[in-house]
Amino acid sequence: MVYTMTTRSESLAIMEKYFAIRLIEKRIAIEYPSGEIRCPTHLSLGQEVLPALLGSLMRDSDLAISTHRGHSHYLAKGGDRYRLVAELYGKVTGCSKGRGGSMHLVDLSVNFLGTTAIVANSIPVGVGAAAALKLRNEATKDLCFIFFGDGAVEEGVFAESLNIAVLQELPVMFICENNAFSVYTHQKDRQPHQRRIYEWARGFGIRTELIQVNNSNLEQSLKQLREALNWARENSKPLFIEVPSWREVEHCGPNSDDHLAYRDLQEIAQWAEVDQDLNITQMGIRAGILQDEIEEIRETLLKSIDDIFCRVKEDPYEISTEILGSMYA
Amino acid sequence: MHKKINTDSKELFSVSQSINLAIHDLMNSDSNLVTFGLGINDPKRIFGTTRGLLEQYGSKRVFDFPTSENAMTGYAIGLAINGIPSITVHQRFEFFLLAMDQLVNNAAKWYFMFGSQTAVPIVIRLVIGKGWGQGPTHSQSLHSWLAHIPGLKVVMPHDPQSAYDLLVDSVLDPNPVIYIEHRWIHEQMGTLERRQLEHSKKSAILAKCRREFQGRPQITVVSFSYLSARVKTLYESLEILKVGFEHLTLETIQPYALQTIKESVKKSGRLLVLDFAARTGSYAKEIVAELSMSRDSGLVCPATILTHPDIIEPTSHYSTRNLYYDDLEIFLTILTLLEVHLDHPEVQNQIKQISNRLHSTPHDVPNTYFRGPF
Repeated sequence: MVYTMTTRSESLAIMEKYFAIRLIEKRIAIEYPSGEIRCPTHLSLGQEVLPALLGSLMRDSDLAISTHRGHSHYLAKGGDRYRLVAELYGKVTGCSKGRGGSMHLVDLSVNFLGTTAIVANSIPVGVGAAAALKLRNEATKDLCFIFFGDGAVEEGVFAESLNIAVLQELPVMFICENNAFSVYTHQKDRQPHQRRIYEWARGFGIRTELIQVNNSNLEQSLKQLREALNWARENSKPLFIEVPSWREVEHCGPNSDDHLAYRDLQEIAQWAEVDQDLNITQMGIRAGILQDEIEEIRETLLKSIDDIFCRVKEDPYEISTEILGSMYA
Repeated sequence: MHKKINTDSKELFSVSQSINLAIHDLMNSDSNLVTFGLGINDPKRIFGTTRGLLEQYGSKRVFDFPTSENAMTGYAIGLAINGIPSITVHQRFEFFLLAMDQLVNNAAKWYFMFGSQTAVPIVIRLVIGKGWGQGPTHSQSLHSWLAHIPGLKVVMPHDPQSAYDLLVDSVLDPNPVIYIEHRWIHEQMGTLERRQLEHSKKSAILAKCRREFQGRPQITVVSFSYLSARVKTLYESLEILKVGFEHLTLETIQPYALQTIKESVKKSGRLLVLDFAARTGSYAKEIVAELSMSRDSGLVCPATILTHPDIIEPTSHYSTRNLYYDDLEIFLTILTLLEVHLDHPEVQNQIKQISNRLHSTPHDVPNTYFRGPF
């Protein structure tokens, strides 16, 4: 296999982000059953690689917006880790003061605009944000990243948004993480079997790519993503990327739910063979990072995550009188 | 706060012109403001309300849009949270129903839901249709739905001055504001004072209500939008009959001037609320409900409302003829509440005059020269 080498510093950044997302999600899954995180929580477990790779390609000045399953995108864009956890616990120190919970994350300091909980309804907002980029100063070559899933493409507003982005030549990256399920319903029960999402999207007149990130050649995935992004930046045009993915746990909540038998055993087995930790680690090693360094990254993260969870639990809640006066700007 | 521009007070403007001038003044004072919507730059220019904008401010700030009401509203939110406020427009309220997700789940919630960090300064213009066969899906006003949603503000102009002032106020408000204009006020004429908008500082719209009165109030009539123009045509007859009244026109319905209504009813003892939506769940009932819950409302007789019946409007000119209440019914309702003897000769005379006026124009057009198409 031919690997396009990544630089050591880039690999370090990707690994740090990957393990940060994965370890925070795992810790949430461990804490969730105690009942202190009391909001619908859609974990990104199993879907960390793409955001980690993009994390090193997105600029601070790029915009991003996402969905109910948005922890990974928030973290990839550089969203504050403490304020994410505090938000899940409903604390006033949360990124949305505890008013939004897991599905409404925001960090404007890194231009992460928000995550919304109605399927596809952050997509047109992202398109409008891209229009703002273009209106303000086209020369910056900044992009707006819009993350969504395979269910969202079935909503009318997805088609509306794609049409507008193409018509107005907006700097948008549409990123469809296709985990094959809308809650418990498989894509084959929702979309014609032979039709691939990225091919369908192409019909709108947008350049589309299918990019795999669940393999041992992540350098190749990174290269494809980089080229795609550069093309969009240089041409100030929208681009659509479909990325096949697989969630490890249930749609909403911390547990495995494969005993419900809504996912095909063969498909489960096939995805179980993907060892993301190994793929990421080996990419790092190829870039000259030592196994010990990787262990150190993990250890440092585990400590800081532990610290975050301990401190967040002591934080106060927003008092209801403040909430009442907060409906209008 | 705002300086008035001196205008010849004799010069009359239509509501359409007032809206147009308001947008011109706003776009002049805020170079970030954009306006867009389906048909905004077409030959008709949204009943004339967007005339001259494209020519003056260019296609980057004044642009037509795909037939995508929902995405259009999300797009406006995306612009707004990145520093670009907008005025969007829909030529009928019903088309905008496709945008309820963006309006209710995003626009209304955004500021609160993300911890009061990002305001959403958008103004959405909706046009209510009436008459000329507007029928089942071009004639509804669902203003009470929108007033029901925390996070939104809802305003309804009724004459040229309020059309101008409310649009300016809406754009200066940092929150999502729905600006509902009735098709039948577009050509209504009146005087207009424009504002000097040098420093368009953001300021929240508070409850606004126009109070007009005559004599010692024996009844409070509450109305909004086009209905206020209808009530005004009765002023003269009421004066001749020496009926004292307070006529309150709600210019904002979210928030609204409940306290002003309460104070008026305390003086007058009687309340009539007019609405042009279906009766069940109507805004008129919201007002009556609030009044009915105060121990000392001052009501000496039950409050009354006039609304449209709970029906779907047919298209046919003939079958809409006796569907809705008209000026005469408003007049008779007021007199009935005041227990005026309807067979009194002067009362009969006024009834006749109002009837004649009504018969001079077909029931389904705002004026004799209206020829549609919408």
